[in-house]
Amino acid sequence: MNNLLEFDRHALLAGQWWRLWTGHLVHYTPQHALIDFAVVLAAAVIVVQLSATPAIGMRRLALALGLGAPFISLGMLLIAPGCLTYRGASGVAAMLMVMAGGALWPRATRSVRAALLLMAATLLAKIGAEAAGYAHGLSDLPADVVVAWQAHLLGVAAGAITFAARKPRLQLD
Amino acid sequence: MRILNVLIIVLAAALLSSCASMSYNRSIKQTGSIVDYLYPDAKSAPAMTPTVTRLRPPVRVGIAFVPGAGWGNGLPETARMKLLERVRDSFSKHPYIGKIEIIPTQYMRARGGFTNLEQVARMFDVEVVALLSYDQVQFNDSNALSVLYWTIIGAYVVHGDQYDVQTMLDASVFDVQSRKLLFRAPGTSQVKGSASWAGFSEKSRAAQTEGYNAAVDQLVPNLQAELDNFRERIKHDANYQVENKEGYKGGGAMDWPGLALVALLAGLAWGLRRRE
Repeated sequence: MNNLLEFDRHALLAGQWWRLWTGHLVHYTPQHALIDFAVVLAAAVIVVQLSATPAIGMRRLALALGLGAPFISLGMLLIAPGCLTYRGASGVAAMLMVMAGGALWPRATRSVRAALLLMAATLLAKIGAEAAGYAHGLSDLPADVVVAWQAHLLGVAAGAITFAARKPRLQLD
Repeated sequence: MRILNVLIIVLAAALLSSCASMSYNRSIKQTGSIVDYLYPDAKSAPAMTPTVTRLRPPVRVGIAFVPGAGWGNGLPETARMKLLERVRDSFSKHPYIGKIEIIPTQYMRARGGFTNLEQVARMFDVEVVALLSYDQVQFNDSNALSVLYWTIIGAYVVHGDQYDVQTMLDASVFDVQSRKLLFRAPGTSQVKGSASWAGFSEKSRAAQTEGYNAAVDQLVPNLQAELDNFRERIKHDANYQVENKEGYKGGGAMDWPGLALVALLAGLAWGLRRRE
């Protein structure tokens, strides 16, 4: 089943478009899935809770997941040509973390904003370390799987786009 | 006449026992030097230009014995292969090691240098090669019991010869492209024993193999420790870079740092909600 759902470059290019979404749902190990989904769940709850109403929050979340997941997958097709297969919700998790931070930002005091900036820098540093290969060995991914840092970067970009798109509406509020 | 007979017997016994005890070399040395193999004609220390060594996990590794200096030097090929298989099996479980290819000694040219190493690496499609150099010295001595060899039966029963086999194995792991020594680890052993004149050759040969086996027993954990040190070292050493391999399997993993970050975010959000 996992093979049918994972991001598979050749299968995608052959027309199996569902993989743009489902690649983020399947994982390599239970621990891999547990950590990724825990981050997704926590960030999603923050996004919904900080929205004007839960209904608006849910709508935003559904829109972000519906558009963000294929955005990350298409980005992987473009910027990571060597990545033949991909599994994991961490790209989506990174997107939701940025969205959660973005939802906190307008209401935050100066000290909280400083903390948010520090966390954003930490997230970017983590991705940088993964790109440089320094995070290899820290990951709990299986033997033959390489950390797809590009997915995390694309997730951050997707979250930033969502944040930028949301800003004018907040000013109207 | 009787005295003459006794003298003849004593002389014959002395000659026989001396023949027996002198039939072995006092010391036998087997050596395969990494320096002789990689730098055969070096008059001075090799000049190393500072380069960044790029490692692309899972790394393809070759493992081979350094070729000896002369014909028949060292272990037979089958015994070598068994030792290399033991080393391979100990390291095949690591995620960052893709495949480990055993390279037979026939493919290695004595004093072949890095040119030969690169040829072999291309042939076996490996990026990193672990070269096992060896140095084994066997000392043979007779003890006081050897005097009983003159009885002929004693030559088959009495352990009048003894051996002391000292072995050192050294595994040096090289990145073929940058020609850089990544890490190394030694393994040593000492095997002592005795044998009768008739069984000495067989027993001492078995002791040589046992010496190599014992040295590998010590080498494997040492090599494992050095590998762990190397993994830690490359995280902070700018001379090494770990890169993605073309055609790899990717995995998006948030890991514990990601979980910690989202927990902090949740804490901030909870604080904000409480304040409001």
